[in-house]
Amino acid sequence: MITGSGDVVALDAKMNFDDNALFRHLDIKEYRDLDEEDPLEVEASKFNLNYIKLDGNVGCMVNGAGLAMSTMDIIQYAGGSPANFLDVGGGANEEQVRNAMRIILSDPNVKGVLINIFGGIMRCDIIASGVVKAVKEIGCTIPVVVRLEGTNVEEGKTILRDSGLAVIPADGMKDAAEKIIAAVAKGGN
Amino acid sequence: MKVHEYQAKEILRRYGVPTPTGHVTDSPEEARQIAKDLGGRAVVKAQIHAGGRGKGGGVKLAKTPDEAFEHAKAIIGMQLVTHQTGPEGRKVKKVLVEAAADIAQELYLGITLDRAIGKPVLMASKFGGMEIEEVAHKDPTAILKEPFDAIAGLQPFQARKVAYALGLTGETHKKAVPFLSPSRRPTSRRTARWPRSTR
Repeated sequence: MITGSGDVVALDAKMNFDDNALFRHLDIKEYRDLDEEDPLEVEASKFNLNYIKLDGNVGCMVNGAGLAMSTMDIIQYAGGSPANFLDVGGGANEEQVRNAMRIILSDPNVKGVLINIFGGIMRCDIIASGVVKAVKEIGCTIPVVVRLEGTNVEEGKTILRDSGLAVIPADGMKDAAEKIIAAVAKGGN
Repeated sequence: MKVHEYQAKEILRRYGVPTPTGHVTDSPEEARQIAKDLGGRAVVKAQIHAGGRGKGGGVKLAKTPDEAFEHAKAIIGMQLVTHQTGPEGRKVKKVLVEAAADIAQELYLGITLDRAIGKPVLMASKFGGMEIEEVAHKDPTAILKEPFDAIAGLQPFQARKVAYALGLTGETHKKAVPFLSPSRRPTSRRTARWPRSTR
């Protein structure tokens, strides 16, 4: 603003910093106010999970940002709406998967979960046992559809089958999206 | 990562950009004292990570320290709803109490990264104050854009050009040029060089 006496002064100020550069600007990082951020996103960042909350009702857990994006697309395409973006990363461990599942399920809007994993670096059996542990711990009552493909896929499927949990297996992404949306629709009525 | 207004102003001051005097607080009592120290007239501003605070009732002018107390009491703890917070609003935890400014004209100034040209861009407008997004939407030509080199920073000739385009003349123009030029420092100096402790 310009003052009555002709001075130039910053009357208001808004700044936004690149989160990925904060590690080398510790003085700026100190300004972080966790109260202003979504509590689930703060929780996810503690476990190095890329989680963005959205306003749909299908929670998704995916490995890899690209696959996560296309999973959200296919949920939309099948007539649903994703509740979040979540990339558990390439080398997630059982602990991270368990926490990811817990974070997804703590969103009250989530009426069903779609787990879509391609096991490249990630092993399907790790995902499977993480999911089983989380579901048993929290006592999940909503439908869960799992699509696994890649490294140790058979071990992963066996763990899910033997867990005694009502997990719906799916083949391929289209099948998975259709199954979760059908399950959510049934649960909602 | 977003920061609060009072934090952003702290950063600006570190680089020599003048801001109104003020302090942040979470107590109405302290707000009264700050206003008193500022000479009585003060502005009480809600500190949340969202714009449109004034329209939502989160920015109030106090003519006396007691009014500053009352405004702070009303604002701290309120659920402030603005067009950027969503319908549930944000709970206000702190207020910035600042000396009431003698505003002759409000301008808008911003720096963002233009990914298409790979350079920071200084944006400026005569139509500052509230709702710059609305201005940009209605009349895009009302926002001036001046791209500059990230490492060299905004050059003095660019600062002069922008200041003239904003309609600033005489003494005000002279003051506007150094105001605009240090604005390069927080962006370029921080990222282009080896991080030293701030200045």
